[in-house]
Amino acid sequence: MSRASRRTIPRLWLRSGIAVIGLAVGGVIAAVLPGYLLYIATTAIVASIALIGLGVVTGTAGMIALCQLSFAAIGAWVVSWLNLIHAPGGYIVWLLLGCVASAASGLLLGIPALRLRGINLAVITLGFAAALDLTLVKLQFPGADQGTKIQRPWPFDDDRGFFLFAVIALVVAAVVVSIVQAGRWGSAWRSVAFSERGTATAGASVRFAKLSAFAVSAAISGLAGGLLAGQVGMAFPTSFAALQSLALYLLSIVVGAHLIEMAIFGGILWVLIPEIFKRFGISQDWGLVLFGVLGIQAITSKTSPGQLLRNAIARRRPTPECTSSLTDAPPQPPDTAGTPAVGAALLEVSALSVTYGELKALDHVGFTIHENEIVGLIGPNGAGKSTLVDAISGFVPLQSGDVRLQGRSLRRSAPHVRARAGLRRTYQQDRVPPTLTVGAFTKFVGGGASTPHEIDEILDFFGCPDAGTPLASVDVGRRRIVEVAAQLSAKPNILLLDEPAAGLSHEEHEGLALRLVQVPARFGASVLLIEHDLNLVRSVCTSLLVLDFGTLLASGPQEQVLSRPEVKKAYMGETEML
Amino acid sequence: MSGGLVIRELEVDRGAGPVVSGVNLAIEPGTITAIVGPNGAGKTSLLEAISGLLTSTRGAIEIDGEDIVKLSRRQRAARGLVHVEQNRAIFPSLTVRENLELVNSDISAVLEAFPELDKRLTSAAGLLSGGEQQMVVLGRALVATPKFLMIDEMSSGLAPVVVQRLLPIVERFRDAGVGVLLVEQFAHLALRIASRGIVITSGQVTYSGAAAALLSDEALLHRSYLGE
Repeated sequence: MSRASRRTIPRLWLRSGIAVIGLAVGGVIAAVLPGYLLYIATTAIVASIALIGLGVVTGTAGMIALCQLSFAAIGAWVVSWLNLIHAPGGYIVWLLLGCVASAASGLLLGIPALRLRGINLAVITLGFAAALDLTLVKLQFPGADQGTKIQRPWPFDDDRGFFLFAVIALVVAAVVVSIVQAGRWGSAWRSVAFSERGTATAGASVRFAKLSAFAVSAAISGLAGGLLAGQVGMAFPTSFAALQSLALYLLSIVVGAHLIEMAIFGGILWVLIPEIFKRFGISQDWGLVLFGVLGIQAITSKTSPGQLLRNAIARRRPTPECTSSLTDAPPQPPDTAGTPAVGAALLEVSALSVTYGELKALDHVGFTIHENEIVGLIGPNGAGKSTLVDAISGFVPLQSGDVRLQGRSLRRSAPHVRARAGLRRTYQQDRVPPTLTVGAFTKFVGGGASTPHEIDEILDFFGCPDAGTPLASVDVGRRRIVEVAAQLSAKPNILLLDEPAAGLSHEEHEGLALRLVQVPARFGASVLLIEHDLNLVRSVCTSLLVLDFGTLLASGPQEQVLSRPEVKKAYMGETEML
Repeated sequence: MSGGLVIRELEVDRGAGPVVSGVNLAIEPGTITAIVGPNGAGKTSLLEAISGLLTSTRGAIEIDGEDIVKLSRRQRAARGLVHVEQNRAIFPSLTVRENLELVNSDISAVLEAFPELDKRLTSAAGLLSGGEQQMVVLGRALVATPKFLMIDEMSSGLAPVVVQRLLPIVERFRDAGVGVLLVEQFAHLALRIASRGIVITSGQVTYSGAAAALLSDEALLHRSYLGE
């Protein structure tokens, strides 16, 4: 069985198994728990659902959302209104419509999140929560003044039945979120939490990742709100107050709500702590204070009980054996052809200029890279090498000039559009999200271009750690190589590599060189390589570009360029190193 | 022994089992020690534990006979321990000059080592290229008047011509009585100027001896890398 697919099949069974067990446990609880406790248990389930939703946007996608219960209020409002006007379809349909309305409001609120992050996003979302809070108090929920009760669906119309209904809703929400988290959307969310640039480089739209996180999160909260309305029989603005949203956010940080079991644990705490306070005659509001204190602790220690638990389990599990390494001899090149002949023009950069304020970072740089060509880009520090890669991949605006891929101008294309067109790159800084595994990252970056078997081959070829290895446990040097392998799994036309060998040992440099030479034949991609190690450049690149002070100092066949006196003076110094 | 940076039976655990264990080291003033070893061997973790970025789980770290294990990073720095980190910790919104002058108002030594920075002094450090940022970070260490200088991946991202200029500067530190600890992926580069070579594999010291022996004996280096 292949390395990448090994884990997915059992995971499907695991998910179904846990879902069935969850339903069974819910059934038993529904049968044995006395009335009042059952009512509280229903509240815990509803809170768990809200926390699962919150976990998507805060835990996984790394954005602050302090208005989770406002989305719940929208769900509850829609259910109350449809109930009041006796809309067709009944409670379950109303509930789903509530989710849709919440998702739509989540999308709207996600729009500012495209530009804002951190404290500014916190202010916006808390402001939204406060505004909606006041509006609801003024407006009241539909049917509240006449005391219209919400019609629960048969056969869940009594409290025991409704508890079971809530359990089913929780299981459905948990399964859906866990599937989405494990898929391409989930990878995009984790990636955007770590690096927006890295996300765009994977061909994923940062805009879509952020908006989808907000929408999914809001939809699940809408479900929680609709359930709460059904449980109480009527919705009240106090259940959805801004302060409650804030407390729920803190709780999600405390438990680590992006992990589903921890969201459920959080839901239990949400009702248990105030309930314990009540038993001892202490005001339930102190529960919020306790969440606040725990939240401060969790934020300052940057960890959560859920994550600690998972770490402890990971520690017991033996670290996966690394089956291959960069220092092994690389597999033979495919026997169809040795080195394929250099083909037609692929990437044409013409008269490209970039300025940072007064600084001219690139000045009328022009060159062409052909099919099956490996071109080295060298130059002193600060010459503009990384800026050139940024400009070609769309991350800095061009002052003038054009970038054409297979004759098509990319000048006006967003970075993720360029990535999808087959122009891929890697980074000098670490932009590989540590929350993903090697396999999940490769699948995400590859965007479905390679089969699981092909992904295995690529990872093997570059001596990458096993697909199941968390990237957090891979050192920075090897993460860069995983990044190279992942970008190649997207089957690009051209790959721009920004110092891929930084952080690798001398032996690994040699291993990388032996593999990079094979890239055109094996993966059909041309390469532009920024590198300071001249041995690597010599053994891999057929031709060279030399940048100095933002202008192209020299270009041409490798030996010719390296023997030019001005190149030696600007770059290599008198004697050669390494 | 009174002078020096001494590490005894050091263990570091980052949460998933020890990444450094049972490491003994002695860095004498006026010497250069090179730590080499494969990727993920624990070299960076070892430096981070010495400077206090990571908490060590066991063992002792002494500067001139004083145990510094319980001291904070700042207190260790106050005792002359300077650590140049791998991830280029600069203040991106401050200018290059401000970044350097935070450490010492006399930055002439930096400009001597890296004349490239002269033109960039008034630019925000965050706008610099990766290699130039590395120069700023190294430059800060140069003017920090260290007693013990630890550099993680000195050559990373630097053009060959710059690396060449850097080696004599490190040697100058040694001649001024500073104990230097280099972690370098390019083993040969570091071993060439070091008197002592240490190989670390899977968190443990597999070779400790003369740097020249490692440099001249390719087989010995390989054996040590494999942990035999």
